[in-house]
Amino acid sequence: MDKGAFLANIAARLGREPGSAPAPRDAIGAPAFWADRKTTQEERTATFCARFQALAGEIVQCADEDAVRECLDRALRDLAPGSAGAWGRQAPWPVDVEDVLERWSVRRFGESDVLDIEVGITGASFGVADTGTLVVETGGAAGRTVHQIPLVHLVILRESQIVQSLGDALAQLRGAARDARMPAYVHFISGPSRSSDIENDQTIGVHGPARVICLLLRDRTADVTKTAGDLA
Amino acid sequence: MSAQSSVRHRANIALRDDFLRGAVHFTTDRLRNRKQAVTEDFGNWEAWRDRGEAIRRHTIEHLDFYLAQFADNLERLGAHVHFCANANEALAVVTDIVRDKAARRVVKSKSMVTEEVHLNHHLEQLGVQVIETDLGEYIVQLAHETPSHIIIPAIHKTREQIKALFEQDGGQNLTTETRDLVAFARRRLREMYLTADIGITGCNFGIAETGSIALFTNEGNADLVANLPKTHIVFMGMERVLPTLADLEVFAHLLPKSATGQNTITYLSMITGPRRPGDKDGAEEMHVIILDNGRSRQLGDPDFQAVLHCIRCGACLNVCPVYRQIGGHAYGSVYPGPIGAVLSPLLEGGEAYQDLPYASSLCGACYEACPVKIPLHDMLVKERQRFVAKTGGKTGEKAAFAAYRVTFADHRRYLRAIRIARRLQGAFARDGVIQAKIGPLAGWTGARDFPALGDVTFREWWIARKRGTKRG
Amino acid sequence: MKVSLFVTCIVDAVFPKVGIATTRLLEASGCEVDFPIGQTCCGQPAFNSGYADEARHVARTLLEAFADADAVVSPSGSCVGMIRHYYPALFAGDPALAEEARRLAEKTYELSQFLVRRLQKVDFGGRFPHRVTFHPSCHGSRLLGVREEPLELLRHVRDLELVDLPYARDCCGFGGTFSVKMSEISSAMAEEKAENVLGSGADVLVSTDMGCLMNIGGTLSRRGARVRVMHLAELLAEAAGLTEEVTA
Repeated sequence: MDKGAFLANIAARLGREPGSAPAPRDAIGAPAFWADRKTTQEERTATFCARFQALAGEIVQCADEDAVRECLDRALRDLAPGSAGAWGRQAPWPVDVEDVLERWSVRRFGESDVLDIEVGITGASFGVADTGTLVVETGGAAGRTVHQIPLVHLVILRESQIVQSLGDALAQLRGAARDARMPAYVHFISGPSRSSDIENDQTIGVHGPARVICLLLRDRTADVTKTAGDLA
Repeated sequence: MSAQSSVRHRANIALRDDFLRGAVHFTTDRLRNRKQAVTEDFGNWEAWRDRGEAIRRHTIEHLDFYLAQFADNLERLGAHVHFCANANEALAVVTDIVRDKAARRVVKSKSMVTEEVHLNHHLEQLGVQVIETDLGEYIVQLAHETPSHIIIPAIHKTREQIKALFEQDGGQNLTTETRDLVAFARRRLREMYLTADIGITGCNFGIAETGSIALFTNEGNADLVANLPKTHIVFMGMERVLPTLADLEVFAHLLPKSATGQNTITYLSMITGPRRPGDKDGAEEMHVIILDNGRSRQLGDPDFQAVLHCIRCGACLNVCPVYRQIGGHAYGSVYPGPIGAVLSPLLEGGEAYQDLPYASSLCGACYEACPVKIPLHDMLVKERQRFVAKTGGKTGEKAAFAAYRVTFADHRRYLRAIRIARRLQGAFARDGVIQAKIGPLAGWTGARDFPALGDVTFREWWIARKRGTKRG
Repeated sequence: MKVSLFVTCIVDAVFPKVGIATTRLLEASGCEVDFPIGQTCCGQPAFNSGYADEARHVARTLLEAFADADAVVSPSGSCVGMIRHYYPALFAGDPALAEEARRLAEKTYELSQFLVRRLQKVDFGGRFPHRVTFHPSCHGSRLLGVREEPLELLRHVRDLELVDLPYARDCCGFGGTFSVKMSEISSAMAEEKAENVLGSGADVLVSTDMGCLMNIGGTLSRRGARVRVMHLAELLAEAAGLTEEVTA
């Protein structure tokens, strides 16, 4: 059916002048009691970690950028994947991990095929405290498949990227959309892939990763010096 | 309507299926208990419901505007948008794409709209292999069945049955362990994603201001379906639009909390057009099929427009005491449970599902569970009224209510009728109850006693008491 | 306070004891009770089956019977739900009747709602030494929002042990004509409710609607279960010694 006729039928049924602007509305997005909350970075980080871990996501806290590289190095050693892949060099990495990726001969998106990798390494744009969600924007060297294909997803995130609500993350994406920069694919990831389709028995790693490990750079606080445990 | 095609007949089959009823009880209990826990933890649930309803109401009231905005944005991004009045138009669009791509294999993620237009059957007719990739849908497809629950399609299948189905599909040395079965499905379906020509997904919400498709999944299959094949087709009901990204936050809370009691969905995927210049993965071509199929008939109808507010969470199924007894297949329609009983006859418009609105005790649990406050219980009554207005009602029932109208409109006739009934019941009543399976009572007395009329009505007692008081 | 009793057709014809108990409780609360004789039925059987015209015709008896009442009280959450929730729309086609319907809807109360909310009367005295479980009627709790009131009244009865009913808020399967039209589904629902009543370990099942109690009670009695089924009004009146013979 023709678009014009389709929309005209809807407008006629609604008794509206076709194409006329909607009535102004007060209720946009989350209610004020939710959207107007004021939280500290420390609170946001704590909530994010608790929520993400409650969803079976794993968090490795890193005190500085060197610690992120060390943790990634240790993770690749402990996981010992047959093959690993990562975003390309031009991708928006929150922390420079090039030397680690090189040391482990990690395949780079855009240069080699990543469709059979066992471990995928990416950055993220946001962490969302309310839901324990990692927001991964893709495009260019930040390929979509890098984190969708493998069984283990290693994600690098800076604490300062953790926002309180989905609304906060969406607002920043919306700003990007206005400049026509919103990527074609944004993935909100809350823990490993899961299903309860077989007799309600909850299981992980159905189509997406079975493990999501967030290497969290505590760049807003100086007093946290936890390092990675055994990741195998 | 033949007896076999009636909801009552199908329900009676389901009522004898103990495994099905056990599975439905177990699953719905689990889902609604988790929902209760998560909403209590979240807090202010009624305020969120109010907000959800307000956004949906506003959107549907201005649907032409937001749909146009949504489509314009998608077209600007290079997607092809197809407006389809009915199932045939939507299937014709798919046929053209399949032929154009010379497609042999299609992978799909869960979409109720594709069930509504019987897409799989159509693709098979075209000689295309269709593979459902949602684990539950995959199981249901292997069994040549249809989903019995909006959210948990294979609610009615045992792990032994699933193992047997997977073995038929090439599984070897499988056990009935979930981990084992899931590992097989992962391997098997991974081959399919990588070799499919087209990926077909549904659309939980279309965001008008950006032209984004928001998909909610837990398994991650929709992402592989949308991104690995070269062509991505999106099926969406025309009502599934939200004005802004900000509005999506509300539904990112309402939907998973209502559907499965999860605080958040595992994967929320926002697809905004086909891959961009410079992107090295993702579908190169994107088609969005926007389907009417009976939906626009509800617009402007004060009784039923709100049914288009539905976000397909399935919460009404999980609390419905009728669904609990009979499961999803007994409804005989793509959409089961209370939303199905309301929606199916409305979308179909003919006589196919006209008995579904009667498969409800009107207890209102569906309305209470609905995250956007659709008054499903009131709609069921209104559909019954329309049925009676259109057909005059069923003969026996019509006569009964004609008699009711005359008898109960006057208290003297009413009391006379009670006195007559009191005399007539003498033959059947024992110890204050009736057990005989007689007339319209037969259904009741099959499993329950029916109380006999008392020797005295309240009004007779009242009049006597008043006289006594006066005398005294 | 002057109160007009809407006794409901089912209580009038089948369970007059419930009407008597209601009368006695209202009188014990200091109300002057009146029973307008012109009343018959709220129209719900026809309305819920889709026969709106028949429902309207019968419902007019209530508009007339209670036109002059200050407050209308009824021992049924379902029938009061019909009046409060559906009457204004049912009579929307006739402005004069719609106004009457709106006025009736505003002044009509379910018994426990009236006692607890309007009169603030929660204690009728007396004792009831039994294990009691409460089934909230769907229409009372969902259409009217009467949830706490019956429990509050029960909690004030001495020696009464209130036990939880598993899946209390699930419908018992009555649903008026649903129980006949879809009798197999209805029976399955009633069976599950009866199981839960037995599982509660209660000797007495109490509710605020005789439709539900007739359904659950009929299922329990067919099973030979020895659970006593009572309307809330009966229980409160019996505990307080406010009983009266049912004779004419």
